[in-house]
Order: sequence, then C-alpha cells, then structure tokens
Amino acid sequence: VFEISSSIAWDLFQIINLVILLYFFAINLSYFILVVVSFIHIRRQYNTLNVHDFSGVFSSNLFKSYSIIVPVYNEEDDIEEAVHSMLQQQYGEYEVIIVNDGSTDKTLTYLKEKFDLYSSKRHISSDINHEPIRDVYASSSYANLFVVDKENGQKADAINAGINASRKDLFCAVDGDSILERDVLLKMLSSFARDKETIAVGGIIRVTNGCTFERGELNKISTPSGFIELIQVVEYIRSFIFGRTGWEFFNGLILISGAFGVFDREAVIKVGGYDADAIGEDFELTVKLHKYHKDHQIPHRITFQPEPVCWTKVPDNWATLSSQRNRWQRGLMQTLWRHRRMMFNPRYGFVGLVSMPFYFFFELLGPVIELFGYILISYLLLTGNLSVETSLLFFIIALLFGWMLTVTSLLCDELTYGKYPDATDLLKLGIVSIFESFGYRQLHAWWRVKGMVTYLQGKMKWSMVGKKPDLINFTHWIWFILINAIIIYLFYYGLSGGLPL
Amino acid sequence: LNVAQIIPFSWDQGETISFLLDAISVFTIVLLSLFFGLFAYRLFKLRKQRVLQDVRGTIEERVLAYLDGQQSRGELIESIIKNSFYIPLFVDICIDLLNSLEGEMEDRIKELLETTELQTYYKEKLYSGNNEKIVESLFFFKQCRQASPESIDAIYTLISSKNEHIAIAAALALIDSKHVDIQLRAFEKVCQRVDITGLAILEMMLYLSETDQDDFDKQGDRIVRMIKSPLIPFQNKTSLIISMGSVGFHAQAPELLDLLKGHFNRSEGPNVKFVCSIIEALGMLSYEQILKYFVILTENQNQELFISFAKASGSLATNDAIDLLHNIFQHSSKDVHRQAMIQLLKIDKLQVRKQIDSNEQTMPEIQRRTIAEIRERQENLRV
Repeated sequence: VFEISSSIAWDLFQIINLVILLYFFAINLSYFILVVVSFIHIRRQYNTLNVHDFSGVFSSNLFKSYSIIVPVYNEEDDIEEAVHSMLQQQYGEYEVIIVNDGSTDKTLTYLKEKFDLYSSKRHISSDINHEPIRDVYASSSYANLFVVDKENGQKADAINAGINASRKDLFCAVDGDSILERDVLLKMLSSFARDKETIAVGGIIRVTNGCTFERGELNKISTPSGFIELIQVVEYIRSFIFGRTGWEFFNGLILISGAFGVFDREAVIKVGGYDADAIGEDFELTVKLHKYHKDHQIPHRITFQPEPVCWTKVPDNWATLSSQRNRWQRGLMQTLWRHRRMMFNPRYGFVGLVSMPFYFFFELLGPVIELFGYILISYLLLTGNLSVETSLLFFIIALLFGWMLTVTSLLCDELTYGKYPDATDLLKLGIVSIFESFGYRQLHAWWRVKGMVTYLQGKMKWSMVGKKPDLINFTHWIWFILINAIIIYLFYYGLSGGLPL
Repeated sequence: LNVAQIIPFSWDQGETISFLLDAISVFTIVLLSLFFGLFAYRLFKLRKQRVLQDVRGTIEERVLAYLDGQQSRGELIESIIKNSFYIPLFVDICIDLLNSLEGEMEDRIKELLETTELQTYYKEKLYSGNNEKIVESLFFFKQCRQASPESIDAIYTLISSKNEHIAIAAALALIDSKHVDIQLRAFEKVCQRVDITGLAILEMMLYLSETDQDDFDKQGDRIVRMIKSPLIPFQNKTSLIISMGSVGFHAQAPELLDLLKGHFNRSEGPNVKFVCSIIEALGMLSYEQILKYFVILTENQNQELFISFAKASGSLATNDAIDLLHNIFQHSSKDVHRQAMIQLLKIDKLQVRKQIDSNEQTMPEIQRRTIAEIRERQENLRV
C-alpha cells in the first residue's frame, strides 16, 4: 500500500511539475508577445501620429474641454510643483480641480497661500455620491484653478467629488505627486479625435525619482540611485508601457492607471463614477466601463496613448512598496471577483475571453503558483526527489527568460522613446534587471500572496503603512539578503556537485 | 555555444539536462545579442544625431547663401537632390524659414519648394505603396501648399484610401491648397467617408475658412449643397452643420433654417441629432430667429432638443435668449438643468443679474445656486 501510494504521490509530483513548467513558459511567452506587439504597434502609430494633430481645433475652444482632477491627501511636499505643472498645459480650454481629501497636514494651507485661494460658491452637482464637501475655493491668480476641500473618503471618493465639480466634457485623473508634460492633454486628445467611440485613454507613466524639476517643468531626466526605485523604473517600462500598449492593440485594455488617465465625464457618470469601496478603483472603473457599454450594446473604445507622459513618484522603501503591491493585488482580486460573470463570456468579446482570464490566471494566480513552485522544489530537493543540477538549470532558465523579457523592453523603449539621455542610465537599468530575479521577485510574489490572504480575510480598505516603517524596511532587507544567500548557496553547492543535505 | 563544454563539472547525461543546457545556450545568445543591441543602438543614435546636426548646419548655410544670392536655385537643388538623406532636412529648413520670412525672401523659399525635382521626388513617394513614405509625402504637399497637377490627382485618389490616416492626410494636403476648387473637391470627397470624425471635418473647415470673403461665401454655398447631397453620410452632415456654426458661415444661416423646416417633411420623420445640430449652429451664428421655434420643436419635451436650445441661447446671449434659458429650467431633467446652468454662467451680463433679483424667491434650488455663482463671478470681475 505504501509503495502504491508513494508511486501515486510521485506521479502527482510529476504532473504538478509539468503544470508549473508549462505555466512558467505560458506566462513568459505571453508577456514576450505583448512586448513585441506593443513595439510594432508603437512604431506604426508613430508614422501616423501627426495626421491627427488637428492644431487648428486644438488651439481653439471648439472641441472637448478638460478638467484635470487631482485628489490629494497629505501631499504638502509635492503639491506646489504638481499644481504648477498642471497649470502649464498647452491646451485651450481646461480647468484644474484639486480635491483635498481631508488632509491632516498643511496641504490646504499651502494651496491657499501659494495660489491665493478664496472661498467660492461654485456649484457642485450631485451626479455621484461622495463624502461631504467642506468648502470650494477659486484662485485669484489662476482663473482655471479650483480646490475642493472635503471630508476624508479615500482616493476614489475624492475623484468623484472632482467629477461632480467639473463642468467639462473630459476629465483627466492625476495623482497629487505626479508631473504632467506640457503637451499631454493635446496628445491624449488625439485619441478622442481618431475614434469617436473613445471613452477613456490611458497614458504612459514614468518614474520621477532621480529626475529634477523646476516650477512644474522637467529639467533633467535621469534614473534614481536607490535599488528599490531602479527596479521599479524597469518594472514600469516593461509592464506599463509595453504591456498596456499590447492590450490596446487587441482592444482588450482593462486597466487605466489611477495615476494618469483621461475619461469621458458623461460615460463615467453613467456607470456611477469611481467605486468608493473598490481597493483598485482604477481597475474597477475600467472594467465597469467595458461592462456597461457591452451590456447596453454601445460601441466604445478604451485606448492607450504611448506618447504622452506623466511622471510619478514611486516608493523608495520596502514598507511603502510592499503596501502598494499588496493593495494592487487585493484590488485585482476584488475586481475580478465582482465581475466574474464577464470571464469567458463571449458577450464581452476580447475582454471577456482573453483579458479577464489572462489577469486571473497570470496576474492573480501568478504569485501563488510561483511561491508554490519554490516550496515544492525546496521539498523535492530536501527529500532527494529532484536533482540539484536539474533544479539549478531550471532556475537559470527562469532567470534568463525573465532577464530577456526585461532587456527586450529596455531595447524597445530605446528604439521608440529613448527618454534617458545618459548611457550610464541605460547601463544601470540593464544591470539592475539582472538582480530583479534575485530576492526582489520572490519578495514581490510574497507581498501579493499576502494581499490575497488579507483580502480573503475581509480586510478590504486601503492599508496605510504601519506604525513602524523602519522595522518593516529592516525586515525586508533581511529577507532580501536571506533569499540571495539561499540562491548563492544553491549555486555554489550545485556547481560543486550536489547539496550537502 | 555549448554550456556543457564550458562549465567545468560533470552533469548527468540525461535528456532533460541536455535539453536544459541547450535552452540556456539559446537564451544566453539571445540575451547577449539584446544587451549588445541596446547599447549599439544608443551609440548609433548618438552618431546619427551628430551627423544630422552637421548636415543640417551645412544645408542651412547653403540655403542662406541662396537667399543672399551667392548660390543659384539650380546649384542648391542639385546639391540636395543627389542625397535622399538631405531632402527631408532641406524641406524642414525651408518650412521653418517659410514661417518666419516675409516678402521677397518668402517667395524665394516657395520657389525652392516648387522646383520640379523636389515635386517629382515626393510625387514618386505617393506611388510607393509604403504608408510611411506616403504620409511623409502628403505632409510635404500640405506644408508647401503647392502641388503639381499630376500630384493633385494622385493625392485626390488617396482620399479614397482604405487607410483612414492616409485619407485624412491626403485631404488635409489638398485643403491647405491655394485654390478653392481643389480645396472643396477634396473636402467633399473626404466627407463622403463614413469613418471620418467630426473633429477632422471641423479641422478641415477651419483651414477652408482662412480665405477671402468671396471664396468663403462660395465655400458656404457648396457646404450647404453637400448637406443636401445623398452621397454624404448622415452623421457627417450633422458634423458639417455644427462646423458651419463654429467657423461662422453667417450668410448661410437662413439656408440652414430652411433645411430645418424641410427636414420635418421627410417621409421617415425628423432626426433629432440633425435638428439639434441646426439649432446649435444657428445659435453660434447669432441667428436669433431660431428661438421662435422653441415652443413648436419642444412640444414633446425631448431632452436633447432642450439641451440644444440651451446651448443656442448661451451662444446668442440676447435678452430673449436669457429668458428662454430661465424657461428651460422648468424641464424635469437634471442634464437640461446642468446645461442651462453652464450657459447662464457663460453670459456675464447685468441683464442676467437683474432678472435673477426679481424672481429669485420662486426659482428652483439649482437655479438659485447658479445665480449665487454668477454673482460671485461678477463680484470678482469687479475686483
């Protein structure tokens, strides 16, 4: 009986091994395809980009007008720079609405001082629900600047208040620590000009850390010096720029980042605005827009513009980064669960048949399977059921595949945008991409699995960074070093003929 | 590259290991190539930038020498046309100069762009079948505003291209031409496409409008004929009407009103979008007579028509229009209220304030809030 059961267990292990292997190739291959498709798509778009540069209309007030909505919470350090960048847009008719979401620091005081705010009677419509508004301010210095001061209610709630305060056709939701390039609105508008069915457009987000700014204008582009920030630069290039452009090519984009996106105001009001209960409010809104338009058989297009750039700050410590990734994963899980009926449903076209299942199997389950793989391989190694050489070779392949994907993204970025003028920046990014697989990748998978567990436990709200961020940072560095030590240990003993178990 | 030979230790000779080693070899080669490619491309780009800068400097010197009379047009063109790398740079410089020079100098630059060699070079690109080259060529003809008759025919054909981008670029190339007949022929052709956006139509109409009064009137009459034509898709007709209002074809306002009246005699009944576009356009054209049709047209309380009348009233901003805006608030729809409010806010007139003062107590809440905001605006304006 023991022999039979151990034989079944062995077969089961073999099957699981095969599934993990196939999964690994499928996930990497699909990312690789996305990068290549994005590259071709961007190059093609570049050739026709100027055709839709309708400068005559864009410089008039004859086309759609914009509101830039900036939800802020305790942003006293970055707010002035950000508002200046918003006010310098090259566009005819637009307004900037800053929504102070009950900040506890001096954000509002700074805004009042720097931009000469006075209490205004501006009417706020009640199209979407949100927390009560304390006051609305207009600026004596800038006719198109308004500040809505409201009770705290999270980011989604703040944007909803901004949508109600807006009187324009389109709105652009931007994070309070983000800087917009001056021609962003013009470029985003060309998407609406190309296709009248466009209801939302996402734009490229790049990392500000390391760059220098002066009065809202980008002075010098360079990479950050910290390892954590550098890793994120690589991540943003890979997934934000090339992943999303690829989805756009297939008309299957289901995520427009909350840090930067332009939406048709009426379309968003029709779906009830941002969901204040949603953890990933941006993901939730994009999926909701798809669902509503498909349900009501209204032709629509949610697209991505590879050229306009929004520069945003990324976490520079493990504590904030882990908290952010944990929240992203919870948001992903929540939205996929809420809209589970869209999955594999032909009624929702490419979104239902490909995008949603992709996000479920690869983005949501990816970290679970990855961690399970690590545990399984460790178990098989320790019990002597897997040769050190084989596992080591698999590990090297995984490493090379991941690295290849990242370098391909960097190359595509260089071939299309080439934003980083200094070659040493390129070298830094190339080198840091190697280390992405050592320690960081494993920690990242762990944060995301933790996020899923937290979600299942019912902790739905935004998690703020804990009371002891220094301790969290310290613990994460320890984990990072430990994982690297294990990998080096495996390499060392693997190469010298086997583990001394 | 065989990793098994390079790594100095013995492996199991199993198939798995061999397969994995082969895979590693392939990945390593690809990865190294990509990495090398990344930096090689950066170097190539830097070098290209330097070369471009140098060449541009040289061409600029030659063009300036031509303007100073030190070099003939023939010599200059000959030195440029022999190298296809120089041509886009040369055109770019000429366009820059064209935008900054006036009088005789401007004419001399135009002469350069009109040379047969250059026109032939770009005409050939139109037939290349390569979209990138075609778009480049269309941009040339758009910017130089002077295409040869053969090129015009080729560009005209491209307006029917399956590729929407090429069609729009071709139409824009001809619409920017100096001859009104060529402009209108291209405009009519592109408006027959179902895939053209209202924005593209508006952009082209803005180009058309940059002309003298005679041509402008001629354009207006032709556009009205286009609106009546069965060859133009219905959605484009509404875009044409709105664009006429935006651009300001005032002379055609009575004809637009006639179109509206005639539209109600259609066997299939009136189209609300079409009616709305005419109401809004007439508002933009300050044609106050449209307000007389408010009662008749809004009998069935259609929300879209109320919104259009609100927009028209906002554009007119006359006393009657302000009265009408206050009436519009009686409609039950929130969307209508919002539009009426937006339009009232646009009108910064004492008249608005006086009417408000006399009726404020009986007004609905939304209207009172609008009024409060108008007052605040006026206070700030005074400050």
